[in-house]
Amino acid sequence: MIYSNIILKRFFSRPRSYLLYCFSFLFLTFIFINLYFQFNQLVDSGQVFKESTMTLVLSYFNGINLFFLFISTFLMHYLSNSESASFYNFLTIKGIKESSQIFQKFLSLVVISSSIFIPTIPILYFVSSVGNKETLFFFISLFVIFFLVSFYAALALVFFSIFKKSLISFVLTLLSGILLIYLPDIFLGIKNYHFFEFFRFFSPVYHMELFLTGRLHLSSIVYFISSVWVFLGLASEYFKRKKS
Amino acid sequence: MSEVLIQISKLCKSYGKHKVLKNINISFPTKGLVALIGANGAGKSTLLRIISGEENPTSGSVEFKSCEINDINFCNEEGVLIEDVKLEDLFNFYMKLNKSNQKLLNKLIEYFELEHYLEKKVSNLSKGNKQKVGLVQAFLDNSKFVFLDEPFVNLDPQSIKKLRDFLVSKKNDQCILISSHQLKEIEAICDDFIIIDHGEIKFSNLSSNEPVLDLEKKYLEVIN
Repeated sequence: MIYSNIILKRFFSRPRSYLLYCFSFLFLTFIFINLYFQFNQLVDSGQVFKESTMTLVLSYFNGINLFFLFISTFLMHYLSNSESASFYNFLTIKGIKESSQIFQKFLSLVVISSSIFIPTIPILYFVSSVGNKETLFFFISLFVIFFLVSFYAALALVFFSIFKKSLISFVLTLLSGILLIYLPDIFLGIKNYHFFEFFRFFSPVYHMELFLTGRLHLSSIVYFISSVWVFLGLASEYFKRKKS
Repeated sequence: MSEVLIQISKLCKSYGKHKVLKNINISFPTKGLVALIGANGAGKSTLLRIISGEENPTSGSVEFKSCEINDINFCNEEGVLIEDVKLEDLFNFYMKLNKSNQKLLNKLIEYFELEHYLEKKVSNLSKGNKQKVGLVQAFLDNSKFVFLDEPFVNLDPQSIKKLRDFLVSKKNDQCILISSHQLKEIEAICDDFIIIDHGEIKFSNLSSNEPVLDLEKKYLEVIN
């Protein structure tokens, strides 16, 4: 994991990286505090039903989806700008194959994105307990966040492996991520139920919602793992083609 | 010429209609200092990028005869490949990547007088020191083939002398290809010369071992 290690060192040696931490902390804290007040309102008005708290939690997790999509894409843009074709070639000559370069970059992105979330975990735990949710729900939330972080990091890697200009990759990753997030809403109007079910299955939001009902669904675990696998495979293939 | 390390045959490279390299044929020996000379845009850097696998040729081949692709190392014009880390971290990265050892690394750091900059960020180093960092990297793993793109640029006279001595000391262990415009420097240390002009090899004494007495005169004679 030599390459992964140097990516992390590069990231943490830049003062600007800590601005990203500050921004993320403030943003997530704002979301959590907002959620806390909304929970309190529900408690005060005696409306603490499972459905209403669930709607609140889901709206909050949609925000988290967009947040991690942005963070993964931004990190790729931030890190890719200072890496030249000579550098990638140097890694290949020294025995780190393209697929390994992609995998190590993916690991670094997951570590950085997860570490961005870590400072706000106590706040999430506090809010979860206020909202009368079980401790299991809190842990499933962490599990969901890990899957979302991996999913968006792998998605960003695909686009950044296709295009030479990182700005194009940045925009296309955001657009395709937003499309995937809102896929169920886009196909909501379709009368054919099977058609709707088919497209909904491809959205990470659908699987996230399944998780948040409090159970671990095998189909959703398979969805996340296989998506990441396919994305990393594609990224590796495009990366090789871009070089040649 | 003795054993061949890398054989380049009928190599051509075009970017669209623009031909950058035309029918290049070179056989690099296993040992020695080889100079690659040519004007800006003559095709030197493209040739080096093709040898290292960074670019593919349009036609022709690069064969690694008595070495493999990972037996090559290089120091490009910029010297360093990544800048936003501490020098010490960069050296540790290079050391692990080259499967080298701390002893050799320390020796090279000391030789190129970089020990006082280890705690500094690479981006804050002077151009000359960045060049030295690249040189340390290039010689960390005793690769069979090393190419140096403009190694004397940005170095002070004392460092140029040290680098010259260093390259001469490596002459019997490795094949070192030096691309440079500083004819006086390379004339002093190299035995073999390749002159490239408009993508074509105009002169090479690699196979003939014909001595070059006045490189500047030879260069001007060949390109005119």
